[in-house]
Amino acid sequence: MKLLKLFNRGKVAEGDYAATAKVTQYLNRASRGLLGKERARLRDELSIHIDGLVNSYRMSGTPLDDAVDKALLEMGPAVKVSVGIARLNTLPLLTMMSLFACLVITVFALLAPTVAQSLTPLNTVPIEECINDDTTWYCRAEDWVNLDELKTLLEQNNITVNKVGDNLFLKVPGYDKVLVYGGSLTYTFYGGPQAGVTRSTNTGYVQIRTVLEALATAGIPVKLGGWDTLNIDIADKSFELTFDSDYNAQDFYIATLNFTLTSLAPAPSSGYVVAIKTDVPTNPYRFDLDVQEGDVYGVLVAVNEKTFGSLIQIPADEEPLAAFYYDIVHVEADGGLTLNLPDMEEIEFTSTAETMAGNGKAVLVKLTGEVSEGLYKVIPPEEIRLEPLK
Amino acid sequence: MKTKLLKGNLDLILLSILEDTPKYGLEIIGEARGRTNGYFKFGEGSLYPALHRLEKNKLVKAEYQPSDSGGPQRKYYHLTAKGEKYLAKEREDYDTFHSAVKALWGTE
Repeated sequence: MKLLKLFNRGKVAEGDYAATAKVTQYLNRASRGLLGKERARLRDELSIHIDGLVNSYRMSGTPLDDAVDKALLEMGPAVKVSVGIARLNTLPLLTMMSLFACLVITVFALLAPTVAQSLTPLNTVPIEECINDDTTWYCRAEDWVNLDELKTLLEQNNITVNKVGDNLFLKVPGYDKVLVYGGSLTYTFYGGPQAGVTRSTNTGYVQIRTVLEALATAGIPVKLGGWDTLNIDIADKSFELTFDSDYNAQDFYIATLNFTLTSLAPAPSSGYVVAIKTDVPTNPYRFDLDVQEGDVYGVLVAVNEKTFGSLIQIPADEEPLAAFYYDIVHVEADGGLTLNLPDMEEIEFTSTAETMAGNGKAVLVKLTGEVSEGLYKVIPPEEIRLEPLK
Repeated sequence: MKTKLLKGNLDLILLSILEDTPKYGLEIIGEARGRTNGYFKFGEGSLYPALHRLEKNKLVKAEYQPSDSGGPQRKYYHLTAKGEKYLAKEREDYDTFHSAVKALWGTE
């Protein structure tokens, strides 16, 4: 029984829209960091896998929504896939992306009037008329908005936007450029007056949630809230988006979430540069910190190359940079920093190239410790305190 | 099973599963569980990065075949000649290690 035909690239078929949105979200997250064919192929592979799991649960009588939940639970965290795949691809990909972006932006600058005209979708839906769910009236972050309308809105607020195909490069003042993927979507209405009708978006649209997640992931503070209007804060800018339902429009997206991204911001999963480097020979360690109360820092814990390689059984030549990111910390009232190390079994090792390639500040901590049973044993206790010199 | 044991032997496990016939992701996980009575329970989050790494290292090769559900093509992985040699060597190393540990315990 074909229940979930094609989640890939946002194409979904019959089935519950909440369930399909969850899968699409999983695929978005799991394939983050890849582009083009590579991304599409990974999404295909994962979507078939999820489809298989969902079908097996459905055959045992599990309702679709529960089956999807179980399947995604079985898949494990999407970030684990994206980090693992990125570890294989990030460095060459970033280099290629940079070169490609430079080339495309140059060409766009030269051909701006022509290109801008050719990119204008035939059926535009202004951002204030982004089409809503046919069963509820409040707006949600899953709604898709027209790229050109979004670009205009953001640029009015000094956020620079470069369109490259269906994707956006956003530049928020004070932060590095962020790539946001756009695209098209096919959806079958679940209920309401158009139940059973399948529609597709034009290309040239982007999901609001995708934009906000990309910004938050890059360490840019983002907040989202609202009910009949959507309130978005990006860095120090505040937007209010309103939506009208339009069942006759050509472009739409339906979803159920009305959520806040506050917990994601300002997660420094990428884009941090080392501001403080220190060995921690004792705990607590007194250090001359040039920081202000409330400042936010990413934390990178470095171990030596040999240790790093042996811990995850990856030869040192494949992982030349030895550090892992694990948390963010806030500077406390006395100017100190407290670093809470996670359970060693759960540490995701990654390279400095992945974690520190952009904006924000990080503390690079070199720990003394030992390898025990194949795991890095941190100096006890697992809470490390960097205290300011007085 | 302990995560660190699985991580240390993931390549050996995956290559062993792919030794006989090409398989796609879900099949590989099912086979790992089925053939070991559920002992090997590795998550999909570990599987795909590992498969892609093996592919990048040319130990396995992937080929796309039509899906019976009519959706996107399925990606089947099979061992390359290099993968077969690597598997044989890994097996030999594992057997040697296993024998040595057993000898240490006086059970060999």
